[in-house]
Amino acid sequence: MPRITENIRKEVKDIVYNFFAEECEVDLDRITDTTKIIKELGGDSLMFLELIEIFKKKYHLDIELKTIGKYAVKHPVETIGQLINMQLLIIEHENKILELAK
Amino acid sequence: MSEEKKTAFIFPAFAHEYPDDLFGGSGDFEQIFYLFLKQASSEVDLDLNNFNSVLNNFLEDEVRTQYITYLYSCSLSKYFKKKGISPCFTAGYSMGIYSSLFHSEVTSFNAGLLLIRSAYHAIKSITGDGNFGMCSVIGLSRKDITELIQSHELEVGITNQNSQYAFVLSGTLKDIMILTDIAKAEGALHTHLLKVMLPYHSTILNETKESFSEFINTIHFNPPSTSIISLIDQRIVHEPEDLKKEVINNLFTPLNWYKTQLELQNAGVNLFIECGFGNGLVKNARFIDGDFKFYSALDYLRK
Repeated sequence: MPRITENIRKEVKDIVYNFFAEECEVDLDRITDTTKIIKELGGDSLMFLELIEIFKKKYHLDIELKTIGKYAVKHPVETIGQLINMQLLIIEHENKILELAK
Repeated sequence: MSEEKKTAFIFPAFAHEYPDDLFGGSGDFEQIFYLFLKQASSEVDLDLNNFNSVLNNFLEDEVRTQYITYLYSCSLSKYFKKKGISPCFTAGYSMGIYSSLFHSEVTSFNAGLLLIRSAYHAIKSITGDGNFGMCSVIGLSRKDITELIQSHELEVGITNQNSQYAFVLSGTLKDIMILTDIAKAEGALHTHLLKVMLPYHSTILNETKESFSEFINTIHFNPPSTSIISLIDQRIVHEPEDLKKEVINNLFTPLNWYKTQLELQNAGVNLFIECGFGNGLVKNARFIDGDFKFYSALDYLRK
C-alpha cells in the first residue's frame, strides 16, 4: 500500500492521459482533467476495467474489482480528473477504499 | 512453425453496428459479399436485398442480423481463402457456429442459412410471445453472480464467460433486469442489456432439441477441413455426427469463450482473427493473459 508521492501522482496522470489518447484516438493535448470520459472521448467501462488492471499490475495492488464497483456506485466517475483521483485512492487504500465511502 | 499453424478464425454471432468501411477497400471482398447477399435473399429472405450499412438496417431484427453477420463472415472466410490465409482452428462464438461450419467446409453456404432459420423458429416455438433477454455483467466473479441468482431466485443463468470477470446471462426479461440492478449494487463495474429478445444458450431452450434435431438430420455435414473447437467443452470436434450434436446443444447449453481462448492458446495459437463486423472479441482479449495477437478481420486485412 504505497503512500502517494508527487512521483506516483504524476505517473498515474500520465498513464491515464496516454491511455485515453491512444484508446479513444484523440490528441493528448485535447485531454484535460475536466474532459468527460464517455461524453467527450467516447470511453467505455471496458477501458475503465483495463486501466484498473494496469494499475493493479503496476503497483501490485490487492483489491477486488467488486470493491471498486461498490465504491464507484457511491462516487461515480465522469471526468478524467475524477478517474485519476479514484485511481490514487485505490493505490493508497486498496480494499479499504470502501471505508472511505462510509 | 508457420503462421498458419498458429492462427484461429473466430466467427461472432450478431452485429451491433456496421463499420464505416465495410470491405476495407477491397473490391474482391465486396463482390463476394454481394454475391452471397443475392444468394441469401433468394434462399431465405427477399428483403435481405435491401441491406444498407449506412442506414444500419437489420440491426434490430434478430434473425436478419444473424443472416447478415453470417454472410459477411462467410465472405471474409472466402476472401481469406482466396488470399491464401488459412487458420489451423475455427470457432463459432455463440450463433457464429454456422460461419465456423462454413469455413471448415462442413456445411454449404445455403445450409448455414437454413440452419439459422430453423434454429430461430425452434427457439421461437418455445419462447412464443414471452419476454426474454440477455445481459452482460463485468466485474463480478462467477461465484458472486451465482449467489445473486440463487438468493433472489431468478430465472436467469450464466450462458457464457468471456474473461475472468466478464459474463453473459440469459433468462426472463424481468429477472434479467432485476439481475442488472442487483449486480451493480453488489459491485459490478458494468452491466448491459443485450439487444436480443431470446435467451440463447439457456436451459430454457432445452425443448428445441427435438425439432432442431429433426431438421439437422436433413442437412449433410462433411468432416471438417479445418479443426473446429467446441465452446461448450473446448474439445476439437472431428466427426460430422458430433458436429451435429454440437450445433443442437449450442442452442440450450452454456458456453465458455474464456476457456476456449485459453485452450486455443495452449494448442499454440498466437494469432486470433475476429471474422465479423466488429471487434468485441478483440477488446475482450485484453483481459485474457497470454502471448498472442488478436485482430478484427478488417484491421488484419489493412496490415
